[in-house]
Amino acid sequence: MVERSQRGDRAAYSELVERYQTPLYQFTFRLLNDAALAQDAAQEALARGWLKCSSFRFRKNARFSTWLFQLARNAAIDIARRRREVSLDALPREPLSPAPDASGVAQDNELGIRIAAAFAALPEAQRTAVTLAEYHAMSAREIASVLGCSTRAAESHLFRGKQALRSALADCWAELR
Amino acid sequence: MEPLSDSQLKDVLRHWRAPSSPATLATGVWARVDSSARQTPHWLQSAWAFRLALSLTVLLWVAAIATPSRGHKPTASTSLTIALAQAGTQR
Repeated sequence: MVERSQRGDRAAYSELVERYQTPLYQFTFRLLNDAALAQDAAQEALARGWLKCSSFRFRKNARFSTWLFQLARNAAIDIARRRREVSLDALPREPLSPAPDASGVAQDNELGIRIAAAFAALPEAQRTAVTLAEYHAMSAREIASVLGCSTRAAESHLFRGKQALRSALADCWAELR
Repeated sequence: MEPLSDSQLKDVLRHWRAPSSPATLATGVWARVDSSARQTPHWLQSAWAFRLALSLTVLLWVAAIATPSRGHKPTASTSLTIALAQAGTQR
């Protein structure tokens, strides 16, 4: 499907969009903590994916999905910088616009809001690393590919991010029990 | 308060559920692609156009450097340099 997309087949790329739109949207949602901005970032990433997919090369360990996540991260950083004129490291703790579905799957519970706030307090690289590991089941090597750093550096971001969350969310665990 | 263990953290993080992608997301992707294509002229989108322009520029540079200049007359500064050099050797 990726190869067909690279040859300019829109139908093939539409299938890829269908497959990856939800993971990418959920990823950007967790990075930006805002539904409208997350949609913007996911759309931008998928549009860039189509425009640049001819430059994607199937190399050893290179996965198309990882490449899309990399585009999504870059789009989220660009959008955060453009819209708020601040970096992704200075996100508001509360979402700017609520998630579109009020049915209960979003962060409509207090615990979800507290987890989101703990994530927002992390530096961007740590937040990205923990999000990819915990919600997208990515390995340290894949996270490194998304972050554009070494595997060792990715492991370090992941370790520090989790360490910060372990302390920040300790009281949530007490309440859950 | 005691920091959470890895499994406890995993358990807590499960409670932050992100929403599904909005129905309009896919259509928005193609709208962006089309608007981006309208903004950029078609010939500029192809890589060969850039390669051609780059090759022509390099060729012109090489041609300009390699071609010997005709009817070259020494400038005032060159003449002065030569005169000084000659004066030096005469001494």
